[in-house]
Amino acid sequence: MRLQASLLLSLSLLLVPLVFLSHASSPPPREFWLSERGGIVEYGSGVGERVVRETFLALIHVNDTVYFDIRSSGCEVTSYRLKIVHVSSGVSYEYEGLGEPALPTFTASMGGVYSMELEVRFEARGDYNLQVEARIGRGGKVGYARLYLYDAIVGCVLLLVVGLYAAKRYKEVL
Amino acid sequence: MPRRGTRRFFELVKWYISFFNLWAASAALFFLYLLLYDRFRVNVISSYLWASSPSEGAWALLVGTAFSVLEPMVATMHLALIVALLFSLEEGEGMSYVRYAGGAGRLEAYAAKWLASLALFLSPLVGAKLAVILSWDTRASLLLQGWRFAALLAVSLAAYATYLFPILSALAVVVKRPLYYLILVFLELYVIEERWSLLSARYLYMHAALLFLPTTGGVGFFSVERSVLLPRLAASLLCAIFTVLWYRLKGEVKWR
Repeated sequence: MRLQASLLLSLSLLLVPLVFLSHASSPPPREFWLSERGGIVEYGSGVGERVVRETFLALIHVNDTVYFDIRSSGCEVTSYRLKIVHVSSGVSYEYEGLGEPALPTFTASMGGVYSMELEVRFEARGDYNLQVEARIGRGGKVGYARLYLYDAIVGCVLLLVVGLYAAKRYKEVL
Repeated sequence: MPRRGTRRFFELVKWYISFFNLWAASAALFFLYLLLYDRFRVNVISSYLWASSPSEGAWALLVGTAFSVLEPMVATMHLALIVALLFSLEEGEGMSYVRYAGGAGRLEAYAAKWLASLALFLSPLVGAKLAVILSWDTRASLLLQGWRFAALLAVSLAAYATYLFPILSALAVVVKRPLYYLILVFLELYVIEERWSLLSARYLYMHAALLFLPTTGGVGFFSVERSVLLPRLAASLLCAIFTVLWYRLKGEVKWR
């Protein structure tokens, strides 16, 4: 029994450097751009008011911040509307603004998947090009205590179950 | 062991799961997969990749994010090691005599090993994915229609394991010695691992675990790259047929 436990432990410990190697070879990004997944680009030519409506989903964690940025040429942004919904709990935030906007930054109060719906109205003047960029930055890890606790509970429960089962089998064999 | 019937079959499956404490290795693998996933990974998908509703899209994003570049290799190694224990070491340690004394034939054992390997392979992998998903977004467990993606993921990974199992087991049956079998399999995994090679584990695993998910489901898995998948599925089927014929030719294990 003790031998098996030590074998299991040593195997797990041997695998840990492998994981650190993986994180070293492909480190997780500190920031994420929407344009890596297509982004929002609107271009064409014409005159008059036009609307761009785009929705995307983002997985972010506590204290992560989403920055929005609009780059335009050949047109003038008249208004924007941004609706952010935490998909699984239904909590929603709305931002609206007129004129050339400085779009708000959004800091997540809870982790999870957010649906972000952005509507931009603009006045086209000839050949126009409008690009909306969303950038997600990782936040401080102050709010992660609950998540670490969750991990610890899952780990402990699993270890307990495996240990109890091992003890039961050991007892049966003896 | 009961003499006949489905009860004996499931007793056999249970026996194979507890072989050489394979179940304990599965528990260790669960922790390894958990370590592989980045706890604080952020990800974005644009709306055109969605299935139909935001909750389904959320699950597609979560399942797609619970992935690591190292995962295909680790998963395939895990399956190869399971097959090594269930076939090579079983034969080497004389466990097949015990199985024969229990009244189970070789084909029944083959089916039981397939089921046991599926359980051993899938439980840590899907369990770790679900654990990391629920720690990212605990309330996502309430989005019932999104669970379709979790089921889809389990089914596609089971399909991947079912594709690989006959190939690996045919090799194990022919080579017999576990060391030689492992050398051959790991040579394939490390050296000949290319898009055109037979196992091509990483590429197919990506298909099974990721690529088809947000779009069309199980059908997409087969329609995306038929020219790549069909020859491999045919090879897998041939390996299964070969193993059955081999067992027929060699007959049952005899007391010596």
